Amino acid sequence: MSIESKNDQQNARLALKLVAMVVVIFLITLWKFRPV
Amino acid sequence: MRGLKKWMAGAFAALMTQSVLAGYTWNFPEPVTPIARETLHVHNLFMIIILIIFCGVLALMLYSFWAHRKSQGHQAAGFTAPRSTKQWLFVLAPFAVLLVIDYGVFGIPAYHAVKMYEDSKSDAELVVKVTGSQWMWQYEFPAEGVKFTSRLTTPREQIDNKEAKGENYLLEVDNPLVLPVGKKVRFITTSNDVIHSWWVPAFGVKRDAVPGFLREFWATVEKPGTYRGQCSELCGKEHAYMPVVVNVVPEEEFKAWIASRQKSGT
Amino acid sequence: MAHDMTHDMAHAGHDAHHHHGGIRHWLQTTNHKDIGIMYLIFGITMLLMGGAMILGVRAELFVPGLQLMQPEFFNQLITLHGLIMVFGFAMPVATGLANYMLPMVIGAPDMALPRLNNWGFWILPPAAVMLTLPFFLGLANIGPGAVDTGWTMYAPLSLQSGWGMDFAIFAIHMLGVSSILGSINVIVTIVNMRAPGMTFMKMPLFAHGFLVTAILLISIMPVFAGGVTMVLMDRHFDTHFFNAAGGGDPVLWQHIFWFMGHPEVYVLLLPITGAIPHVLSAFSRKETYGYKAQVYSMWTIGALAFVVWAHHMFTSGMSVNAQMYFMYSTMLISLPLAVLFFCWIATVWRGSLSFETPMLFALGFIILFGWGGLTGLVLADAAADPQYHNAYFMVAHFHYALYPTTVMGSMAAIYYWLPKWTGHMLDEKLGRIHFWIVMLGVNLTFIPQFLVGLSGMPRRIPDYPLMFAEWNKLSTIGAFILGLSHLLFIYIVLKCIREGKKSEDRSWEGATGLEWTVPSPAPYHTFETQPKID
Repeated sequence: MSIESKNDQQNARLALKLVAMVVVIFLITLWKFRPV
Repeated sequence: MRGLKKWMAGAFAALMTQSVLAGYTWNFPEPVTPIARETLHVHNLFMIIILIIFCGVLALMLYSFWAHRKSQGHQAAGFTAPRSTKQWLFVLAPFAVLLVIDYGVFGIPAYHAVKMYEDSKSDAELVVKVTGSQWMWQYEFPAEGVKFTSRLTTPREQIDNKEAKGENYLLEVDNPLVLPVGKKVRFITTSNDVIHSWWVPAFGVKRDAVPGFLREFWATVEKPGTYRGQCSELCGKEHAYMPVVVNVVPEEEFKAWIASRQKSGT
Repeated sequence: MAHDMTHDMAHAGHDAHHHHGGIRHWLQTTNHKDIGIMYLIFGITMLLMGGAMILGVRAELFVPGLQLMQPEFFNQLITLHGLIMVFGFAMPVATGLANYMLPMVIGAPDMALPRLNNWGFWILPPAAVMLTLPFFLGLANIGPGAVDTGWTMYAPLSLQSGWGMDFAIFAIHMLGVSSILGSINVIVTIVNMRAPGMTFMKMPLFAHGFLVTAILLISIMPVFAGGVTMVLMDRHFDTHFFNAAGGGDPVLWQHIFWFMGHPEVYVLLLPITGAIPHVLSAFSRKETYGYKAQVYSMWTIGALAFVVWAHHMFTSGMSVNAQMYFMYSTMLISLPLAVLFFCWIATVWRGSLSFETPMLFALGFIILFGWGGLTGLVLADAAADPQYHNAYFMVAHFHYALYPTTVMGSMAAIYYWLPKWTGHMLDEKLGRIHFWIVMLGVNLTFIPQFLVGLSGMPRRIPDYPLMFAEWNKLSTIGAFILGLSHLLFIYIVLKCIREGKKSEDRSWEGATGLEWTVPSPAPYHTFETQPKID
């Protein structure tokens, strides 16, 4: 594939990893602080 | 020269008294508890230290702005990091000083002050329960069976600028808390609704009143008098209108006050 | 290729060039320069709105008594002031600077995810509307008004507010998503798109500042989102996260909020610590001192930011051990901060100095932020803090930390790069006047607040006892002077857009960095072929 689209792929992959991290943090916060 | 110094000292004293009377107060009020005294001391010491640091560094910077101007032909030096051992020592010295100030000058007394501040249980001679509500305080002496509310008495006309404001505008209540002088009082705080916070600057103590929970702190007031403070956690529209007023009186007077409260059934 | 920076997006625009103006262009653009401009315009507009709110507050506080408004309205003003300044002004302006300059300083053609960039921006105007609509409706007597709990939104007070609170929660979700998307973009851009040969330890401090900032943001914003979701659920879905009667705890909210809130202040600071060294080096005509030390300090500050939050909660009734821990850990942050100050001053020291407007603002930032930091030390003492907490001493402390940083620091950066963006040099005389008015305004506003706080005045009150009157009067006068200075800033920027001495590629004699190797104004696309760095 071309260099541009390879870079775009790398960018998108890293971005998705970061999004996943964000969602996980959000869910952990809600779960860990659920009231007794 | 002596005359000038005397004049300046006199002018300074006059200015300070004048400024206190005019309401230009600029420091904590006179401390009347051990904690307040300790805190005032720490504050004064620290204000002096940071003023010295600030003025020192500012002077250095102002010197640089003047001495190193391009317009006067100063050529830029080339250094970007310390090179020799001597330079490293010179660079690390201010940080060593900062460490000593932080953890030594500041940190060691702070350790003891926190321990003292939190020591609300030992040798307490009296217990007062303080309950915050929207928008008043309720005081209770559980052991003595006395309970009453304390509400702002400043008239609405004064707030709305229809009448001249009294001397204790926003700092006056119908039923002040009364405490005996020289006795260690343990305070327990809670709230009926939202978080409030009980503060008397002269006592050097502030504690949140959290609904559904009990918090505690203590004070031994060393001097009789009337002490005023205000709620210190935003609690809704009349947050500014629920002051704290404490009358600290000799023990006999306190006992008489308790007895009269017990008789009147509140 | 000149490139138009017009306020009014409804203009037909100057389409002599390959791009055209008009609303559709601005709605759809994925160009980092365009998006940077939009963030900056949005942010400065919010500065004026948040500023107008606080001028309303200060006007009421001019004298004791209730003159202009009732407490319910006052509480909305102080809340919106905080939320708008932090989330509507400071962060978008920083993001605008990042968007415009980050690709240029690392030699990249654009941000890594240009379409995401566009989305990240366009969330902001609706979010601002969501936050403020209840306020304006309330002015027209429709509804209960905006959120009125202070920007800290403590529970259970937040459970009592009208639907202005719910609008604020949704606005915060939107603002959070925008920040997260922007931060992801920053991280991916810096990690993946530096010019070949530009290693991490060769990239400009501007990039380091934003990298740490972005990592902080993606860690704390989801937690904050979780917290406000809990508030929403307690308000409407019968949960009891913050209600003791149901097994919850109001103080839990404080922990969640400040877990976000404390790193947030470093989010506000770190972009400026990234930008300022560029300005200092340029006007000292001297290489940045202690590059590595500054990088390590930024990262240390970022790491420590996460573990000191409860120094905002010393009066809430925490254990002795917790107080000790948070006190000593908070004091630790003063060390990397001191390293930064040392390096900034050492960059200037024995340079060949000139004092154009960006340099004035950069130096003013160092001096005033320094005072803000020093006054923070005594707040860290858990036993003394009760005397300062929630009183005006604390308000003055954090404004000396925040205003010089987010306003003066951003202005230093904006003034510095404005010739690159517009192709014109600044009106230095006006810039100098702006600077001195700011110096007067900041100090006249906030020094009286230190004093009135020590005298015992709590914060967040619309009316106060008589002994606080004199300092409040002075502070209000200072605030109006400061407010007017922002209008002068906008005038100077607009003037620079329209006219001024033509700028060279290297607008400032001592400026270094890749952005100064392209023409001024910068072409619409730069570094389409990435330069090789040795």
